[in-house]
Amino acid sequence: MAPLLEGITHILTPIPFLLVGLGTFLGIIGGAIPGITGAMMIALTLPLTFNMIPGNALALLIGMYVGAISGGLITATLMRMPGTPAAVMTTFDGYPMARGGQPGRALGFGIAASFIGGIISWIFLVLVSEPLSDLATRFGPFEYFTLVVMAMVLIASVSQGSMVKGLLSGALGMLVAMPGVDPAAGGFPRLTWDVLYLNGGLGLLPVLIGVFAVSQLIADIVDIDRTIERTKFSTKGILMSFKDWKNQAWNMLRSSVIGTWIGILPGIGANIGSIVAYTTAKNMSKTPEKFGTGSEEGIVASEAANNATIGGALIPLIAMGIPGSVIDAILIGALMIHAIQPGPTLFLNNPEIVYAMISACLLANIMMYGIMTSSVGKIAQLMFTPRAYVLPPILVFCVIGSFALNNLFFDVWVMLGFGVFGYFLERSKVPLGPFVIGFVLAPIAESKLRSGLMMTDGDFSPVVTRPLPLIFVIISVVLLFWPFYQDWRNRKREGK
Amino acid sequence: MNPTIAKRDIGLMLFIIAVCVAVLIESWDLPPGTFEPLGSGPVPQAIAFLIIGLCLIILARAAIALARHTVPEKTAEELEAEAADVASGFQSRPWSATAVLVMSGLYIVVLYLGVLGFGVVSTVFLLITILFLLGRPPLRAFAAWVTSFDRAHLPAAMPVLIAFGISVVMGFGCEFVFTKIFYVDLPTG
Repeated sequence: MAPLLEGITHILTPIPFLLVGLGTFLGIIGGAIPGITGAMMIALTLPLTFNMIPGNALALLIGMYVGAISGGLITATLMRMPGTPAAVMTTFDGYPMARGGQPGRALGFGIAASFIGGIISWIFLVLVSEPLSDLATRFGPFEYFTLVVMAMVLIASVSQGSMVKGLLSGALGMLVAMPGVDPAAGGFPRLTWDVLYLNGGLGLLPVLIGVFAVSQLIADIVDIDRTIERTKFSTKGILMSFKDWKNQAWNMLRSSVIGTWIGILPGIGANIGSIVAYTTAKNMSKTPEKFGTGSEEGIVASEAANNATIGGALIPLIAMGIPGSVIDAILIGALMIHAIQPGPTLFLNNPEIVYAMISACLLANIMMYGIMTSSVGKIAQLMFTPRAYVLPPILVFCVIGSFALNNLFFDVWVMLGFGVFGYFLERSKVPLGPFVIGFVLAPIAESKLRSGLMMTDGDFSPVVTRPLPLIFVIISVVLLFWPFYQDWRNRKREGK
Repeated sequence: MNPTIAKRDIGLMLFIIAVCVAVLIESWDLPPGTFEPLGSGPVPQAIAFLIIGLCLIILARAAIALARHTVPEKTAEELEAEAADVASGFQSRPWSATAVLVMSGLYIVVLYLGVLGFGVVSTVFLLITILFLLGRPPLRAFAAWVTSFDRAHLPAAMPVLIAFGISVVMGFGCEFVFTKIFYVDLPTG
């Protein structure tokens, strides 16, 4: 408890406090502007943190994470356009309620649910991360390798759309992580095609910015003439009444726990969390017919869950170095850029960083509630900024962001190349989330496998003879074949 | 599967397979491990084979979809979105995206050559790109305003002035902030 209090005290000092506030504010604005995602904003902000101390850098990024996931509800409610993918479910009920003359009330439900979701998941973050980290420190290389494999299969199997394309995306990310000097082979370069710049591998930032920012910019330019439906806005009802709090308490709690649990599962982000919570709320509601027509329960379920995934997703990141979502993969990159080794030893080696992250998460949720309830009207105006003014400056930031780490124009070309590649992947409905998570996890998986084989003199059998690796392998196999089994069962039923 | 997506899939998968073949060729001669039995080659090779296998599955599905001319039923949301696009006269602008990418390439080349500083090059790039994305009407109004000094043209010409303001502030502002505050070594020309 004492380290947590120390962390909270630190985060309340002027500079970290201001950085969390700035991050949350910018995140809300980014989340509220369609076409700017949380992942894009955090990837572009990362270069600005190079000269900050790591705790402050992560405080800024976590503030932005909370802000971006929350800000998406503004456009989802007022424009039926989710500012971030996590707010898709909010459009189903937020927009009809806003259209029905209660935009303030619709936003009020979303903001309050986001706040409660964030706080409940934060409590889980505090309670679960350290014990889980303790457990993970006992993992050997085979345990770690099979855990990463399980995470990859999980990410692919829950990717929206085709599972084969999810797996393909993850594998492509892993392949992109392969070029460069191989430390386990005595520094011998591989897959460099004699290009000197590839000896250090493809940089995390250029690849991230390309895949998440540039590909999105290309898509935004293609759709730049799409008109936006507006609803009239008023802040009436922005603060929920006591009766509303009472009516929604159980829904908020249930959806927050669902969101936290989904967040803990490696690689699954806020959008899946909100879909599961929304479906559960609908199935358990006394008035399921109201869902999709402006149901208060629908807004609350979606928003409580998507914000709860933030704290949930930070748990595997802090405890094991496994990203709980795409944004967490970028946060792992942020830790590595600041020379901090993510993984189970993070609690032992850098407790001050861990508690700064945990405290920033709490403060960001509180600030998000304050900023959203007090300024949502002004923030909502930003949604209508013509995208022609917004997109080119972001492109300039992409160039600076990819250039800044090594001062190399090669990285800028890599960024542009992966932007185009990411755009074509998305057009073919290949999800980008598994790509980035595969890119981050592949070096960990490979190094653990090879160090394990070094210990066993080339013997693979511990993968199936040791209890934890065996459990992870069984879960991976079940996850891999479950969708095919379900498909086969459905066809059989239809045949009857 | 939608035939359009099937055709896109085929092109993309063939490209990915070509990359994987290049990876396999490049990794084939990598030496075996010195300190451990696996070495540098097997992991990228295994991933490349996995990707080729997955691409072949997607290719087979796309080919079947094209042969059968299967078009999937659209969801209510997709139909609604399509109807809204038709009603508003929306047309996508893929060539605009291509043009912006080409402009970005030129921007990077000019920065690389170091002929001019980051602030100047970025300001010009931003101005050209924003005006290009805004389309012709604001430019015509601006030209009319400049030639006639008629205040009636000013509101329609305002986007050009805003574009100019954004370009100057972002171009020179970024140069100042990133070189003086964040110590990023941007090309100064």
